[in-house]
Amino acid sequence: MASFNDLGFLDRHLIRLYPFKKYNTSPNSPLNKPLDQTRIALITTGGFYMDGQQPFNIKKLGGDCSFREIANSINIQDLLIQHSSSVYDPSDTKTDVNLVFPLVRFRELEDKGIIKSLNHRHFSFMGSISRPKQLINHTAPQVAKLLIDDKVDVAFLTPV
Amino acid sequence: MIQRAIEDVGITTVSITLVENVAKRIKPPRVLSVPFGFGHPLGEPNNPTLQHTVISEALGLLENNEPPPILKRSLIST
Repeated sequence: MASFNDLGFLDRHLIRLYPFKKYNTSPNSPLNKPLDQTRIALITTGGFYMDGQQPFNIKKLGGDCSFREIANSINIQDLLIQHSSSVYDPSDTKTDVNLVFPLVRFRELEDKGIIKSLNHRHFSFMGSISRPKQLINHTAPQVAKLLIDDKVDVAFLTPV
Repeated sequence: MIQRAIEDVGITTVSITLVENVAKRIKPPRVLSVPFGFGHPLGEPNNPTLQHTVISEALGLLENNEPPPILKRSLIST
């Protein structure tokens, strides 16, 4: 599998030149309860969507900033993937979705009482967004608001 | 950037990164840097033990009382 240093010159350069905004500080909302009292939601940029939902638009200039709700009750074998990244090969994810979206692993933590519960929904973006304005101003805050509505304590985020 | 937006509204967040330099730039509050390739944030397919180790290291950052940004390298070696 490719790591950053294994990438070709062009891809390494693209990532280096990617318009990631530079921040000087971090927001901080520390956890104020024990982990076994927390409700957790998973957020991924793996491009997952469910049958019946619109796939992500891999042709959209600047990237698709939209998101899909993933039901906590889904059978992970039923998840579909649409991703525009040139450096992400989803074949291993198709073998085991937990590689990117560790829903079954978190169900196991819930069964063991290590976390209190999983939220009834999780959220999937596609990533590979070179023009993130809509993401920063609209879709990411929308997801944040939905997580507040759901009384989620912790968001666990995984990239590809 | 998604992580920052969620933490901004008062929800605690933790993430995994495959490219440490990006995390250093965006400064999400809590990040575990893992030594895996693109598309493999949890390590390997069908390796629940490794996947649980990664999750456990990441969740451990929730108990870290240092001021963010907290960027820790995973103890897993490849």
